[in-house]
Amino acid sequence: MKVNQQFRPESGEWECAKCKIPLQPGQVKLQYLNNSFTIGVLVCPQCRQALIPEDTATGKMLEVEQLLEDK
Amino acid sequence: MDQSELRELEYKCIQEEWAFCRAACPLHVDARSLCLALQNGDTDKARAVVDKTMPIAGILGRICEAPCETACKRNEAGGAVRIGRLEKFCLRTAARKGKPMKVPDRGRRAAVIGCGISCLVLAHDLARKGYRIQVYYPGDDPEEAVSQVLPWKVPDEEISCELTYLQGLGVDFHSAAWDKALLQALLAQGPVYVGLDAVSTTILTCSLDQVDARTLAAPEKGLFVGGLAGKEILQRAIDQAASGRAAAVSLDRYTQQASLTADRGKEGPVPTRLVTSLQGVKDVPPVLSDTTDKDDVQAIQQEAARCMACECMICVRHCPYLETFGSYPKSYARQIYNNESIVKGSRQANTLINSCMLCGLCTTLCPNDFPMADLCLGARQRMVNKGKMPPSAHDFALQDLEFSRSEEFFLVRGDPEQIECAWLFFPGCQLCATHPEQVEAVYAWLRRNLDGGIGLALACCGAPAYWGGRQKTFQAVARQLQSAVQELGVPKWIVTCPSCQQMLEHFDPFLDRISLWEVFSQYRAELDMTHFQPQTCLVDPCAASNLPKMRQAVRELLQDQDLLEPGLNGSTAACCGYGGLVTNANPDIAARAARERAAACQGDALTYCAMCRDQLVRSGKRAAHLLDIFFPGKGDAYSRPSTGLSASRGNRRQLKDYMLQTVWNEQCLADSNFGSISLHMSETTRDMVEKRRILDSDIQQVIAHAAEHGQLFYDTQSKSYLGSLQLGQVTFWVQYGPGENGVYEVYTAYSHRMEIGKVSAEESA
Repeated sequence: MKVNQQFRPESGEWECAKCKIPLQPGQVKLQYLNNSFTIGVLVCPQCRQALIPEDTATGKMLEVEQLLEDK
Repeated sequence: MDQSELRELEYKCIQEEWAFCRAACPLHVDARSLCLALQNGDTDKARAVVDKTMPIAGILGRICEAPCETACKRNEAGGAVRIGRLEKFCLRTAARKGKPMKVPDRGRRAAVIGCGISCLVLAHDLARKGYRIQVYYPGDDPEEAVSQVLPWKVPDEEISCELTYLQGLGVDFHSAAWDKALLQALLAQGPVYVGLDAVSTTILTCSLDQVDARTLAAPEKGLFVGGLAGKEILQRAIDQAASGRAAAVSLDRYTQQASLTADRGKEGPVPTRLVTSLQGVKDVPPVLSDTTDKDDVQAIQQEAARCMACECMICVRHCPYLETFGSYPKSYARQIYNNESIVKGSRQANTLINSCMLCGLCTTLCPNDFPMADLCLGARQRMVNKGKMPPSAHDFALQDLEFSRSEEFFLVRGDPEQIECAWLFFPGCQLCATHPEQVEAVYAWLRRNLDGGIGLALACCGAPAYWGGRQKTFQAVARQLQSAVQELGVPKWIVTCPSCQQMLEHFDPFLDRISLWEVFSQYRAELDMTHFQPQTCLVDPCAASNLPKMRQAVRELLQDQDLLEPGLNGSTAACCGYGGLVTNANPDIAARAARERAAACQGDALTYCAMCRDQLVRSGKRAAHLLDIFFPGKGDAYSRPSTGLSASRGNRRQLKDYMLQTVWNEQCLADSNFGSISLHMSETTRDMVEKRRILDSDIQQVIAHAAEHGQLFYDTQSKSYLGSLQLGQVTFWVQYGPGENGVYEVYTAYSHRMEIGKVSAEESA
């Protein structure tokens, strides 16, 4: 998974349900089996929650998880 | 696994053993590859196959007596492939490719007295090792000299061609009279070979008895004598060639001062351990006859196509797992060994190791009992112990095991009305998950029909831990179950599931136990057989393949019924794809195994393993469990869909609740805090969620957590929410609509194992 690669939901206008403000591009650090990556996702600028889109979780993230599991 | 264990394992797999024709050939010509090339019309490739192991093929191939044909497996199915004819066709139609490759001179020399087949073969073999060879022939013309000593006529131009080729390799031909003086003069310079297939024995100063039959070494230092067997001069060209080859090995070892006798077992015709099944092979008579035109290309191709390409592969042909990975156990053993030896880098055989169904069918079919299941299970155990097992491989099944061990399902109780407990009914967790009604009915039936008090154990036998290589977890399962049962005394276990039987055997081989089917067969009159459907196919679970008593009892139960059986059944029952946790680690292979098992069944399937029934139904087969016959529920048991993952847990929980309340008059389990959340989802979403192994309880927990902590996102376009929650090692995400009266429409759910760390609102670092 490339650092700073951008991942967005396929559709929708997303906001934070708690803070009621639109999400904006940000970064999240992902960790698995002593490896970590930083990728670009939508985040809530106030409460700092990150949105991991479905196709990212079931696509690229799954692929990298499996690669790391076989290391 | 160490290297010696690996070699021992590899030796058991005979797939790489030579085919019968090749083993019988004194020069080990690969006739199987020759036939394959010829049936594809590739004569150049066929010629290359011959040239690889047969020296002076232009001469020898034309006169070879083809002893391979006697060994050909086709003899048992229509008549031997006419390999000799095919070889001759190949030599007539395709020339040797490329020029002779002269190996650089290493200072090694040898002289050859004679110009028969053995002499030319020896000269060829030694020249290929960098020797410079002097061949002595009588008369003026080497071609004529060769022609005169050949056992069969060969065209002059072919002899000329081969001699030119030999010259190109570093063989020189000299005219000389073959006599004792020549021999002594040459021996003074270096090693000498005398080929008695051309030269008279009178040249020798020793008797033939004194020539070592194995090494062909004569008493005189540096002298080797070939072309004979014992005191007999060899008559067949192919035997003369083998003699020359053996002498070349000896002469080379003599030159290099190595042992003449060590490790010579692979020379000449050798036995082969290969086993080739003729099952399904039809008799096909030879296409080539004495009257067939020798250059009829079509006839040649048809004859070559009669070759059965002898190999073993019996395990691979009967196992979708072994077949999927494209090789055979010998190679898999090596891959698994290498996988364990890797220090850094990718472990490429993890999927191979985790995709075996551990059913042992391959071992039963293998002529040498290659233990593929033991190999994979051992590798899994070592991976777990070293912390190298991919965490996701068996996670879902292990979570399911934990569910079965928890308060949600685990229950061991004695008979509600009797103090003693002579029996303990152990239905197994998966039967409770798929057939809760029948479990309840069987327990009531047992209490009605057996004396001495009947206890009940709702628990998992630990198969997921055992199959996943988790020995410590398996032992913990055994301890939990055994200590709970101890409270009841020493009851005889009544076991329904064949996999549970196997696991209990691992717990305690002396555990007093009997299968439910054996109990049923003793009380057959007490069972209602009216729901049996004739012409059903009885599918033995693979776990029952080594439980003959259980299989026998099932057949006794159904004795008067009209039953069919699939191809692989009984002691060679194929796996439905559930075994070995393959549905977790490799769902594609599991699905394929189920499809193949289903396809082998004529009519509807009837089995006595809950997971076999589920797997067969998932592949589209109409299937029922034997308990559906004796204790039918509502509707047609054969068309009932498979039990989903969430329903499987729900059924187990409800069964425990129901039994506690109705049998022991105890309070039911407390509801979880998220149990009040009801879910609704389309069939497509349900299928997808099942495939992703996400449970309703996972989704409910995400929604409950989001409602409590407000940590979720909202899409203003679709007016849906997206919440997430990490449960154990997995983070679940659920997109859902606004709830109405506690009912939520679920649009999608997904998960990942990567943990979410620090979040920054900066777009780039």
